[in-house]
Amino acid sequence: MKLVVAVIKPHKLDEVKEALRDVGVQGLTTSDVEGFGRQRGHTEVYRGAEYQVDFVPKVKVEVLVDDADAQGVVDAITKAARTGKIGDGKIWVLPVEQVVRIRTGERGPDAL
Amino acid sequence: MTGALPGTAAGRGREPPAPVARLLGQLRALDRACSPGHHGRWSARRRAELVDRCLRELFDAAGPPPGVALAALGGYGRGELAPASDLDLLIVHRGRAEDLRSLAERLLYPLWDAGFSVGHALRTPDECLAFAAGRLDAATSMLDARFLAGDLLVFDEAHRLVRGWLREDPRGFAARLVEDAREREERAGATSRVLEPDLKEGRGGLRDLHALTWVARVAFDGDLGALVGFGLLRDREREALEDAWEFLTRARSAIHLETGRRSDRLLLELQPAVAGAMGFVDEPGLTGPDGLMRAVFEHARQVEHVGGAVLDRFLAGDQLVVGAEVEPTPAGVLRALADLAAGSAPPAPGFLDAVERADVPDPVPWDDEVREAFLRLLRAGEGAAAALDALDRMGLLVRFLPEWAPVRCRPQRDPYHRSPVDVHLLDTLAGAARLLEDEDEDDPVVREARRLVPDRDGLLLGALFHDAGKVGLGGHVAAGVRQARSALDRMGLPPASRDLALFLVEHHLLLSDTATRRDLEDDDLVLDVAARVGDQGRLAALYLLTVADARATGPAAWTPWRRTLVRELVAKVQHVLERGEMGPELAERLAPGTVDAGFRAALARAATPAMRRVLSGLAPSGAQRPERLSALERLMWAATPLEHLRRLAEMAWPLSAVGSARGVVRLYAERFFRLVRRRVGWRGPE
Repeated sequence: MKLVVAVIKPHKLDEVKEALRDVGVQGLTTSDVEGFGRQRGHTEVYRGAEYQVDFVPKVKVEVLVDDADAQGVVDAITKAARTGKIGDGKIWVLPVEQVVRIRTGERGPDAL
Repeated sequence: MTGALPGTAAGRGREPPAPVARLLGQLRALDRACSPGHHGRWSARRRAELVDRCLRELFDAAGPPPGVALAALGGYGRGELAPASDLDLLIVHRGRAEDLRSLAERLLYPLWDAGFSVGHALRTPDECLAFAAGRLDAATSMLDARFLAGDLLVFDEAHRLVRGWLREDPRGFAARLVEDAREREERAGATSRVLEPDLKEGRGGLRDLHALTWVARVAFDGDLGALVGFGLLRDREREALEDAWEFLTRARSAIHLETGRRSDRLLLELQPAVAGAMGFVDEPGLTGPDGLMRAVFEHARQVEHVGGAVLDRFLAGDQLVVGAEVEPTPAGVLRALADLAAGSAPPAPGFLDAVERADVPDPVPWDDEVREAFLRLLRAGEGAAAALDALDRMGLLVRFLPEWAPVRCRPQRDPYHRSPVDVHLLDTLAGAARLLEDEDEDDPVVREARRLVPDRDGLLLGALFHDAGKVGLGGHVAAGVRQARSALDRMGLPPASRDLALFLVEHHLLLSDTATRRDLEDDDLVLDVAARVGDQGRLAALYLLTVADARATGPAAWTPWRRTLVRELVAKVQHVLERGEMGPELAERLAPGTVDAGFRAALARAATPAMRRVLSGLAPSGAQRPERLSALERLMWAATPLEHLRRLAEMAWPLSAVGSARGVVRLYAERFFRLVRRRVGWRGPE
């Protein structure tokens, strides 16, 4: 099993959600996160006020998938989240040792 | 210790002794005597009496030695037993506790076996005093202590020691109760606001009522009546407290009966059952559970306020604001409250009496005097919210603003809001006032924006009414505009204030929704927001309202995450409005009579690629969707002087014949002309 983690632009969440549903993903976890990548922070100006934006708001999406489905999920997110501009985000994939569905106690792929 | 309804625990193979068996039967009969939603204070007293009788018989049968007394403590001592309350007992003695262990066991085992939750202590009178001196809850528990059986003299000694000690410093005792109430609010939340209120420990809950009786007992050796007698509690307030006490007791008992456990929190899952038991049924715009919560909030709010006021008055002594004469007219009432809002001292009971006696017709006819007084009150900033709240608790606010009635105490069932609608509106008002004034504000955009707000009254009124449409009928923004318009029109405000307030009510979600859900790098989107907002002053006011609204909503609503996104949008929209791209400033430079070619060129330079394609008559790419073009339509419609709009229409007219009937340019042109017809009445070339 794999954990696919994607950090994307906030407004892309709906499209990513749709794309994942289309490839058969049953559930996902999202959180509002802030951070920076190569684009670092930037300065914004509102009239006389100039202020530093150190961390850029993003949405983190986490999906647990079977090994065989991981590539499809990564592709779906890549396609849906891409605008071609800076700050589109990143996806990474982690191996997962164990998954348990709390209600039933099912383990492994059955719990996905 | 978890309480449990007696008789529900599995028996332990032993028949209970006769007094306990009888008690179990009597309690079951009492529980059935009325519906689960109607066990109020009478039922609680009756339950205590039944337990008293059983305990006296058990105590006598246990063969107590001389010099020993049995007493009831806490809620049981007050004679108020909810269905699953603990029985707190005290055995007062003069000897050694070890000698009484077997007595306690003979007394308590039959009760434990029958499933009662019983707490007990064995203490000498001196130990009672030592405990009371060490812990506030031990002291108040002893204040409520009630003699049940045995040696009255030893009980009296213990009781007198504790009361005597507390009476040495009644103000100090009251101050500790105030501190305790504050800690309880941190721990259990406010019964008057949270969606899953704790009816006992929460602020405005039953514990606040108990605190008043303790103050009355320590300071005046009396009950709530004594507080009235000594001028600390007004008659009307006492009625409100008694009503709340009955209501909260009923609701709490209903929870006990519903869950079978001593649980005082009105959880979401219990609300439908408790509402049903208490007779709250679905009404248009208000479900049964919402009706229940509205009543809980209403009562708890009275307890919170009156309880706080009584303690304030007691602690303040003669430092109260008596208030100049309250002129007994609607405007006079508002002026008196505005004076109060500007200060910080609590109002004296006499002041509130005078306000209540004033002749305030329902509804109040608004005239210049009333409006000026209302605006002065509003401008008092944070104090204004408190003053309007006080006005509402006296039942007067809805006479000034009938639109307030449907949002009063209305619960909000979503993950973000932590307050009922009306509390949220007042919190937002206070927050907006703070944003306009606060020197310590750390958001640099707020500090800039406050200087641009064109009309402060308009912002404050917008804050006051922004959620006025939450009346249980869906679509709260459109309904809010209707409600706000009806209120603002009645007030007879200057158009600038009225229009800004209405604009804010209509668009109070625009920045937040757009920033978190849409692509801020889409120029059309930014232009669209700029078109809807129209100018820099409105943008500034809208940002301040967005901040005040979110801060008043709850900790989850104004995160740095959300703030960064909203500020990015505001900065981008501000740049558009500053540069005058497609806005009034560009339009201004294009004086009437400008030749078409110049106008077209200027417009083309400022326009987005999509607009340029339209202007030059080029077919747009297949990806261009008509609904995105609507942003431009709105922008031109909102921000361009009529003369230029007309020229633009003339210029774009030929486009309405371009391409296929479903082509983008043509769709755009047709919709554009529909708008133009409405605005300038131009129907195409003659």
